[in-house]
Amino acid sequence: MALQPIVTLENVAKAYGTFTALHNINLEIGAGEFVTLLGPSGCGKTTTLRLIGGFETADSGRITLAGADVTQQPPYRRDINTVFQDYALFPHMTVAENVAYGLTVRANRKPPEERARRVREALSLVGLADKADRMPQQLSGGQRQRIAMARALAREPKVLLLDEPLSALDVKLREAMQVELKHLHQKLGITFLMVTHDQQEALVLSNRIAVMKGGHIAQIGSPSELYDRPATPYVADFIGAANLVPATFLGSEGGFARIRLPDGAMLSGVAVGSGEKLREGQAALIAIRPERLRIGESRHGLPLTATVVDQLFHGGRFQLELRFDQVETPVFIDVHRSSVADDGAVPQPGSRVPLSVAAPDVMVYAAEAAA
Amino acid sequence: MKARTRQRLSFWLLFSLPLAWTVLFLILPYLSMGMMSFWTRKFPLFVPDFQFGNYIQLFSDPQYSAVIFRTMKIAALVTAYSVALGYPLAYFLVFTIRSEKLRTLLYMCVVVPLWVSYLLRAYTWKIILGTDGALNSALLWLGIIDQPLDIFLYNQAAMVITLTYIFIPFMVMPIFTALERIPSNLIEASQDLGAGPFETFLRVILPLSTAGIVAGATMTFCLSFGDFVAPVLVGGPSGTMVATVLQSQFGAALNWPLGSALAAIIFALVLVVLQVSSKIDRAGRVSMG
Amino acid sequence: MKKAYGRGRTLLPLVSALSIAAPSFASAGELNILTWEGYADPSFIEKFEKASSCKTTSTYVGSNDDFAPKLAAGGGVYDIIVPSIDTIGLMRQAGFVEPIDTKKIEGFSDVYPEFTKANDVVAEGETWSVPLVWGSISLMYRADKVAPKPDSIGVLFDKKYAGKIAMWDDKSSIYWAARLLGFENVYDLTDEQLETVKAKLIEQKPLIRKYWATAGELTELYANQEVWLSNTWTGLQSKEVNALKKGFEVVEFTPKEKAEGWMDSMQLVKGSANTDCAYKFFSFMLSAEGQCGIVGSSGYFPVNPKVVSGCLKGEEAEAKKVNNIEFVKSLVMWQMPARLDKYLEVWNAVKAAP
Repeated sequence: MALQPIVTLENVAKAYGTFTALHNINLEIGAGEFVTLLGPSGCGKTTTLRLIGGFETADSGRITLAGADVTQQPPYRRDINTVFQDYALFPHMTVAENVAYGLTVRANRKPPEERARRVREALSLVGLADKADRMPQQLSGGQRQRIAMARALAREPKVLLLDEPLSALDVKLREAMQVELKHLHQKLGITFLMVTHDQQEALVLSNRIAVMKGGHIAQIGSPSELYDRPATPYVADFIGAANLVPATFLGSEGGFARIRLPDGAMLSGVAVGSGEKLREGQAALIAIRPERLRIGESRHGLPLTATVVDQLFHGGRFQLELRFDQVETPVFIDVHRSSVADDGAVPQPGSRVPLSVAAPDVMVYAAEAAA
Repeated sequence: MKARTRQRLSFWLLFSLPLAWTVLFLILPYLSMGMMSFWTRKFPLFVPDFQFGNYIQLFSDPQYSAVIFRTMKIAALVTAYSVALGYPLAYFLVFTIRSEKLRTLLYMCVVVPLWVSYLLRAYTWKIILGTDGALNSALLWLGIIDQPLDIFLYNQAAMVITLTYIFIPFMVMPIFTALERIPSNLIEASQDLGAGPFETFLRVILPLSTAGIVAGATMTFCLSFGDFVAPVLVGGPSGTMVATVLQSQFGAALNWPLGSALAAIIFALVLVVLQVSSKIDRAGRVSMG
Repeated sequence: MKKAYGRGRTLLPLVSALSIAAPSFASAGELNILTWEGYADPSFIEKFEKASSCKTTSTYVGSNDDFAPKLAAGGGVYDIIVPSIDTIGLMRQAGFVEPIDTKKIEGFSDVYPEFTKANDVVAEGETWSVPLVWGSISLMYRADKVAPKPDSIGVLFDKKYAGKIAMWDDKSSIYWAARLLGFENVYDLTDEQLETVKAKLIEQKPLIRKYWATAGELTELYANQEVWLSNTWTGLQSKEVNALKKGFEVVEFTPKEKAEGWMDSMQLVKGSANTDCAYKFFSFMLSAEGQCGIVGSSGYFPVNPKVVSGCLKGEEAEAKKVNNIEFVKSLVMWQMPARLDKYLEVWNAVKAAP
């Protein structure tokens, strides 16, 4: 990695009683990066963030910040600030007092003029300069979220930790805030480390995403790497939508494989997703992004046939639920209304439809990797 | 129409009893107390009248103001000691004890004494503090003193100790509740912003538990202010409190008008205390959202 | 005064019903007696109940000051009250009691005439109470701690015994201080004299360990080493303290300024529905069974010397002053102070003082 690492985790482990939250995590975050820890609840992403923030202490391993070992340092001795999930604004202080808090603490008391200037700047950065004298409970959720940002940023930390910063907002506001967050990151140039369970948010915002599962990092990489080359079916399923269909591995040459679907269809030249070695005749799992599947035959694509089970109306598009013969798991594809003459042209339930997919868009994994 | 009648009927069925109770046992007694405070003592009893003599007597005779001020002093000391001891205890329970079970157990230990007769608990202090009591025995045994001391019992200090012991659960309970309601992420946020534990306590925890302190202080103050058992059991010759005087006006002296006037003054004082505390409380109260 | 009182009276039951628990009304044939502990001991009360087929229920007071408030608050509950001689006049003046028909009481004529003819027992040409038992209030001290042997009330004001003195929490403290100061009529002191008494009692406060309120409390104060000196209900607490065998003895003495005397008598509450039973009770209490019974349970002196020969003999009879009514003359018999309110105010001011 070209960037200077600002946060590193080396073999960091954490257990709560008998529950192991993190198994020897290794992670390096470069200065100025926007890294997201993504995963379902209980995957260890929040624990990782809390360990970096200093709210939890690692059982073993080492955490460094800008080269210094901070593993045993309390939060108030770390040059890191956090935007908490439900903002954690002090209810007995005005917005300005909240933002100024980190500049008035004994360890970091700034002169009044500087304090006032930085509060003003932080508030205008989030566009709420006019709300300085309000109490937090007089503000909307989105405004509170921004105040929480301003409060953390006023301290000009090296790293900003964001714990599900947008999860409490409604969909529309969340999308607007995503844009703002991205601009803020670009403008400030400091390192952002965010925790979210929302893959779409992760994709939009991050330079790199670490997908976590069961206390491990399943895969770390850029959003497109994760989307286009998921290391496991789990990652494929978590990032974006994926149709997972069981198959049999028949062999490979030069990184491309041949497989057989349960209905007998043979597909060759498909991509091998994981680094694992697949043996001939081994049960495998293929992953296909919905948007890579097309209805109709194509000269370049691999031909498939499926039965329409259901037709779901989504406004701008229809979602079709399909089944391959001999396969239990459903397969979904989208039919955009702009791509058909009229809604009647969309295949009806019960009809059999030909499908095609480009061979490199089919990724094959060992079946047990799906577990 | 029928439904409305039935609704009205059920409303009255539901509320007439509590309403009658309130009127009969709260409002009427207060009114009769206020009325009687203008009556005149006339040997051997008293007669209805409208005059301010009782109030004049209460304000001009220093024995009454002396007792009121003494009672306020004792109640204030009890309140202060209860905060000083009760706050750290509640803090310890909420923030230091990690185990939920242990915390509940210890909290119960604080509250359980309330189930034991108040008289019994006050009496226990008499046994501890007496000349022949446990404290003196311990000091003698340790060789710290060679003669039992009589400075522990039958004085105002003994009253303050006893009342503090008896009323401290009323301080711990609301503070405990207030501290428990503080979201842990506010404490984390404070530390995240560079404040150490003590600064976090002063700037976040303490202001956010003001409501609990005010509630506890109000209760402790009012309960000690009206107490009449401690003066009898552990108070000395100078331990007369306002409730004792009140009791003697309604009892021995058979001067209900003067007693009513005194009660009216106490009533007004308590109202002032409640008013002040609700002001502080409102200023300190913030929604945890 | 009577008229003014009457107006107040009409409002009292209303007010008391609202502010204090509603009174329960006694049924006929059941005597409700407001009296002192030890005065309704089962040892003799059961005999009365069997003989008369009247049931009794007794409620106890801790002080003579309890009678008026109890009657004022819950009129109609009690049939018989047993105040001391200084309080029976107040009961009459307050209209709480009815005159007694002495002819209906057996043995009434055998009671010491010093009591049956005393002021307030007889007033307005009628008899208002039936004497029951009498005694004195003297001083008491711990023999091992107080020396030389005291002979004056002055010992209660001796700085040598600071913190070891107890006084009865009662207006009678005024009488003690007044006698020490040499004032003549302790029941009718002038304002000036009362001021002097008040100052004397306030001066005494730092020496006081505790103002005792009940007989049991004083016993406990001695037993727990808290006090060495006090006034006492002659015969009662000294017996109790010495019976505890705490390794010391207490001794009673009559100071040269005289001890106080008292006599408790039974009064019939106005409007009682049980006058028949009440008169049976009066007669019983003046009989051998009643007098011996109450002397036995309380330790005080009988008022009817003719009937106690069966239970009090020789030294015992002498100790209980049987046929020694001369002893009364050595006592300052209690009377209601001429200005009761003033006395109570002074006593309250002493207690309120810092």
